[in-house]
Amino acid sequence: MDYCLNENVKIISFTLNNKKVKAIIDDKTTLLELIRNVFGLMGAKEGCGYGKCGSCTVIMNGKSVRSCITKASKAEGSEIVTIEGLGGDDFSLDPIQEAFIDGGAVQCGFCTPGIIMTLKALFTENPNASEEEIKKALKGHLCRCTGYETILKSALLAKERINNNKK
Amino acid sequence: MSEILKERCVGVSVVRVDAADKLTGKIKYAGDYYNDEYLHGKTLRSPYPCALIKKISYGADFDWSAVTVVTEDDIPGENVLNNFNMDVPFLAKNGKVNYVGEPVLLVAAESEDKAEEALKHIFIDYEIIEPSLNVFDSLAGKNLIYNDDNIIKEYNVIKGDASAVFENYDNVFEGVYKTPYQEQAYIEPQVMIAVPSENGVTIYGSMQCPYYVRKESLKLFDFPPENIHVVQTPTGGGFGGKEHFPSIIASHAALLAIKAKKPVKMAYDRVEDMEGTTKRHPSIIRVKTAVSDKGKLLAVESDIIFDAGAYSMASPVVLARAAIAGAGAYNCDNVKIRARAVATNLIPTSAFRGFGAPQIFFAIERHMTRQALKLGLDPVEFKRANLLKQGDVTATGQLLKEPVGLEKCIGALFEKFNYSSLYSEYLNQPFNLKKRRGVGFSAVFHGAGFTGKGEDYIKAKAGVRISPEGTIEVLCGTTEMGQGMRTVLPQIVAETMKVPFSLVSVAETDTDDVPDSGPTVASRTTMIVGKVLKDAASDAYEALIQALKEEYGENDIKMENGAFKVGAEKTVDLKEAAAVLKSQNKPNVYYSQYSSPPGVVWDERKFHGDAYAGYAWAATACEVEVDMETYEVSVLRLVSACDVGKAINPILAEGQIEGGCIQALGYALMEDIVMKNGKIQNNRFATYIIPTAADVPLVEAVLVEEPYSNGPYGAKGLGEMPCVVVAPCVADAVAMAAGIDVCDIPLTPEKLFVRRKGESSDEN
Repeated sequence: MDYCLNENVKIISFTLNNKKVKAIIDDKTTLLELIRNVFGLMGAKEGCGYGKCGSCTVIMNGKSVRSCITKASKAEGSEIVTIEGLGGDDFSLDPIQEAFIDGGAVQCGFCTPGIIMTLKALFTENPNASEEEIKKALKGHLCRCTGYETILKSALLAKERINNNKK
Repeated sequence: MSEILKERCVGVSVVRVDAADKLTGKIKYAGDYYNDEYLHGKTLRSPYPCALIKKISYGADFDWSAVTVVTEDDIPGENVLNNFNMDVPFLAKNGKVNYVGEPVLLVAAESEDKAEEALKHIFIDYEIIEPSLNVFDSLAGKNLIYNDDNIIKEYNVIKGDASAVFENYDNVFEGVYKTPYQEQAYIEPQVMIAVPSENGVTIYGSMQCPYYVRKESLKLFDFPPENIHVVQTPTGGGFGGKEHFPSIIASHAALLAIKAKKPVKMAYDRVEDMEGTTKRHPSIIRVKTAVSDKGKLLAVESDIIFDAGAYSMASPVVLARAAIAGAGAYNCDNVKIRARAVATNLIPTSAFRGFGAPQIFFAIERHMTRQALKLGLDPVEFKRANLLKQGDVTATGQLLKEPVGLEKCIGALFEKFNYSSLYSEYLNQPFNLKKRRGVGFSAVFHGAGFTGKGEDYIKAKAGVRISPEGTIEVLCGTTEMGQGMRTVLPQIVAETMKVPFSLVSVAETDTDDVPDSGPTVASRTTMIVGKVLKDAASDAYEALIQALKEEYGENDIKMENGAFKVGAEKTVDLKEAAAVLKSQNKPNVYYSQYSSPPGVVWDERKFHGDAYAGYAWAATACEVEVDMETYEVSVLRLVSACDVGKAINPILAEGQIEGGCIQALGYALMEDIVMKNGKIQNNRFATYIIPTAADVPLVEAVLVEEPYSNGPYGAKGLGEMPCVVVAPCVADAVAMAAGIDVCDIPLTPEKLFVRRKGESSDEN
């Protein structure tokens, strides 16, 4: 970590959506503020500001994290993927995103990127996650529109497709 | 996808048009707009439920040069929201605050931190007044908040002579039912951006009703409403919470922006949103019924009291809906309904999905179940025998001329949910089981659109525009907030004009471009605006055909595979047809306007007549399990059959039902606002609990289609119904399982635990 003149301000380096980046942060900056205000990646949202709704979820070193309650300084040396970093270079959709389209799991869309990131981390770590494990992962996300039924069904559909593609 | 949709489009689950942009995070909500020039606005709010503002002072040690402050004195026009009872101020009026959280003054600075810092250097001396913090104190005149009786609105609905029946009848059954506050809890908090313009202001923001922002700030400014240009940004849920309140936030931002001569962004965080914006009305409803020996409902009396909070907001229309449904979905000759919205020194309550109906149907449906059990009858059989049928007359004296979809819903419901066998099985389960089960059933109606003559006053306008590129744009002032309007309305237009769905889209919701189609509320968008658009699309189609007839001197013209077939040989696509229109100097925009179907009669003064032109119907059943040690409730299965007239897009329709059911499940089991001295205690998602994926049962939506003669392709409004029908059904099931006679929600384990000894909740 590089230190600047002010002890509260520092420069951090990390990987954001497969690109090496640097940023100046102070010790109050959250990871969500860093991603949105410094890098202009607006897909992660602030729905509550204290880690309860899951709309701000991004992947850090393979794990889904609540970026609104994660200090930006934690990003130092890490690999961070946001919703903008999902899908292919050819603007293709991730299988999870495709399953959400087919399963009708999108309504207002505000919670959607966060949920996609949680499922991405889950299926990357455990492509055979059970329905209970999926529900457990989704428990950290609030959606007021769908009632979760279509989200759960789409997650199961995505899992099936991910596993079929591997065979 | 569009390949299979060349001709037919209605009744097909086309993929919602905004799905990909929402899934990839590309879509920009108001909070995602970021500009270094923005000032950030903040609101100073009252810490007291009732007080006089004696003095406002500004800290001398703070640099005020870069801060814009707006007080009531800065308001160029009148400090009143131009709606309802004309009593809602934008900022505390005449030096008095009436609820905790009431906006007193506004500041804007170059960052949110600086604006918040400024608030800390403003000091207000208050003289505290003893508040009235419940409806009974208010009715007793403890503190006068509204007029000389604290009654914001009262309706009386009379049919036959209920009092005479009760007088002559021994077997009268009475109960008192209570419902809580409910927070809309859209996941996107409220955000508004105001940009000053040469002669007014442009507003961008999260909202349900762009034309309300204009209309409701009509008296506030010294310029005409046309100079308020409103652009709705993609909206992350509304559920009624973004119906009127955005007008207040937008006006706050506008006042700051005009004074500062800079754009101002006002973004509420979750805590401010929960503490500062309107909720669902809590209610106390007394219901009295008389039933004949043969199980016929002879008389119903309902005394409905809603806590309106400090100002009227949408209370008059919310209360109206409760009053009209004061006898539930039942056929009864003698009905007496009194409904009052009472002012208290609490947060104003207003629109929330179902508005007024969830409260009254909870009371009536729960009461009818308890009444049946009291008489030793099967609740479902008792209810079914008394439900409204086609040809019956409602409480407001409306003859139901259209088919009533209730029996169809119940039939479809019981095909999926074996109610009667579960009911008898659980009736006989031993009481000492560790976990006991129960089933519940409820039936409701929902009138889509505005009550009475409301739609005739609004005269919704909408249209279609044929672009030079050969695409069709839908022009409407209603909004997409997640429900799927931007997909469903083009489906109606594509079907009517017989063009591929992919060629139709909704124009940006910008008051400079789209007409006033009325607000996006009351399940009216598909049914009312969809109907207007169908008419407009028909006109546009006919105009195109006529133009081609004239152009080619050919009478045999029809649409085939997305292009016009002119005579036997020639094919003209939409782009060429648009060019023909233009060359003939014919308009390329076709508007239509709503008018009620003939024969609708409504007497607002007597509250009598055709309350709604059309009704949607729903029946729901559920099965629950109650842990008899912890009193935790698990809903195992919930099936909701809704008569939607015609499902324009079945997947989206099912999504509305499933989502609404889960909101209502939260209402029935866990959601409530805890108040202490008028201040909301649970102001975040850690303490205001809404359902998560772990709480939800298997929800099945069953679409029943009993077409409405004046709806587009038969469609009725559906979005609100699930929020109306679920809570009483869950309460019935919990009562059966736990053996506890419940009359109020939410049914938290704590509440059930206290009631476990059979203590009734209806003493009051």
